Amino acid sequence: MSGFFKNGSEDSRIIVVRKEMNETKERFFTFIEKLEDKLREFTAASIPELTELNNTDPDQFKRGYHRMKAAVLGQLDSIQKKALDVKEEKIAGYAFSSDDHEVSKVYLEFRNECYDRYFQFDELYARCRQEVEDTYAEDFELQYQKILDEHESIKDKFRCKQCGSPITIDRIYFTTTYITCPACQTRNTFEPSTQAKMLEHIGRSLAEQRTRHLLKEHDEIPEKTQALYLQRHHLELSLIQENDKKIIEQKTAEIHALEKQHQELESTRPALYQKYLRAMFDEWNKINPALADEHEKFYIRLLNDYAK
Amino acid sequence: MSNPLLEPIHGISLYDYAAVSAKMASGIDPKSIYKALGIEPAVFEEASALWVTRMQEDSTFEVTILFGQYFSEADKHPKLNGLQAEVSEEGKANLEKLKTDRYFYEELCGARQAAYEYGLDGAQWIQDNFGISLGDFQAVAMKWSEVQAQDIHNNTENIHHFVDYQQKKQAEYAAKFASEQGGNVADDVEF
Repeated sequence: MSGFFKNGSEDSRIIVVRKEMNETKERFFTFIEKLEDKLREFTAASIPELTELNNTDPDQFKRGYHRMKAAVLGQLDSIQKKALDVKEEKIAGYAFSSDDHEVSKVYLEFRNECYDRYFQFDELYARCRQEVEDTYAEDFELQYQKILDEHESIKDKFRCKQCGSPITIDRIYFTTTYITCPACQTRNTFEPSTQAKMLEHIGRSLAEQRTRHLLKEHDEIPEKTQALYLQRHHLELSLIQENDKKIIEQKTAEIHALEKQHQELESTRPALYQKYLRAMFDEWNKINPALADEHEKFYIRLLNDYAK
Repeated sequence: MSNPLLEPIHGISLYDYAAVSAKMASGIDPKSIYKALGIEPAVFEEASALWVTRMQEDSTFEVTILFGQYFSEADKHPKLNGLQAEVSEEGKANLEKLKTDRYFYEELCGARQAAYEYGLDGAQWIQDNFGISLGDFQAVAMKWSEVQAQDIHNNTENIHHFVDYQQKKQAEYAAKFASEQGGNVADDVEF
């Protein structure tokens, strides 16, 4: 509201302009508020349904859940687009005499207030989108356990197509595989189930899930170094007006200590990343040892990419 | 072949692997694909898993880029070019149009995106309404992305033109889907 009707000595021309802009601003604020209500209501109503569907969608790829989530996000987008279109048309495109310096000043004030209000709306829109995105969760432990349980139940039930002798399925196969009958040497074809064929894919996701605390440790370093930088910067600023030698010495020592901490943290980053990567690939290899050699090449590639 | 990552796996070249992937994506029965290529499912499935690991290993992305190129050229594969999914006459005509008419391609991209935003399976919607499978659509998309990649260097105006066109079409289809579903949640809010 600040800025409007503040100058009692304005000529009538400016007063009229202000009044018209103020009316548009009030309408814009009301419009945005109604759209915010829609964002909140629609998000709140969608989240329980999405959460339920995420937990119960029987499809392997949760297509039903993803379709519904896309539709919810699409509606949030349509609300945001409506606000954006009106902002562009009614605020950015507001018709006024730009040749008149005084009117231009009033317009800029009006526009800034409307834009600030729009940015508040946009922040709410981003939060709502995030809440919807957060309904997605995959329990890779559960999916892996199902594969293990299935393997346990079938490993002693496979029989040779030629002589009928039992053939033990000694590992979890994730691709169709030939297995030779130990009794008659006939080559048999074993085809894994659809969920077992996902082993390699689930394996990586599960390994990432199990080791994410290590990645977090690595990813948190920039935030920590930024905090140290701000502390240092604050101390440096405080020295500008400082004359007391003792305080200057004390603060300078603190600045050096912070610099050292900063450098130490930075230097640990590559080792932390390698620690995470090694742990992640070790987990992945445990889950699907058949491709351990190939995983190792991928590990080296990622490590090299990091060093670049 | 200078890049060892491009060497065939169990006799299956990257071109074979990409063409089989494209044919499967277009809805052709895997058994008839294996037969045409003269390979066993067990051999292909293992090679397929290993081709994925080659892409992971390749920091130059050469394997992935070539895969995309070969995927779009599946119909030229000497052993697989005779395999075609059952497509209606209308679907065939639409697929030909998709290959040659950039506006039509951009329109269907916009329609597909709009369909997803209204809770529809966009790929299935294209299949049901235009008779074009996801695999065929993606193969054509690869071709147009090559044209776009060239435009980045010498015709950025063209890129903007088609981006605008696709957005316009997406908005039209969004309005159509919204109307079919009884409107958007904030239709009653007016300035």
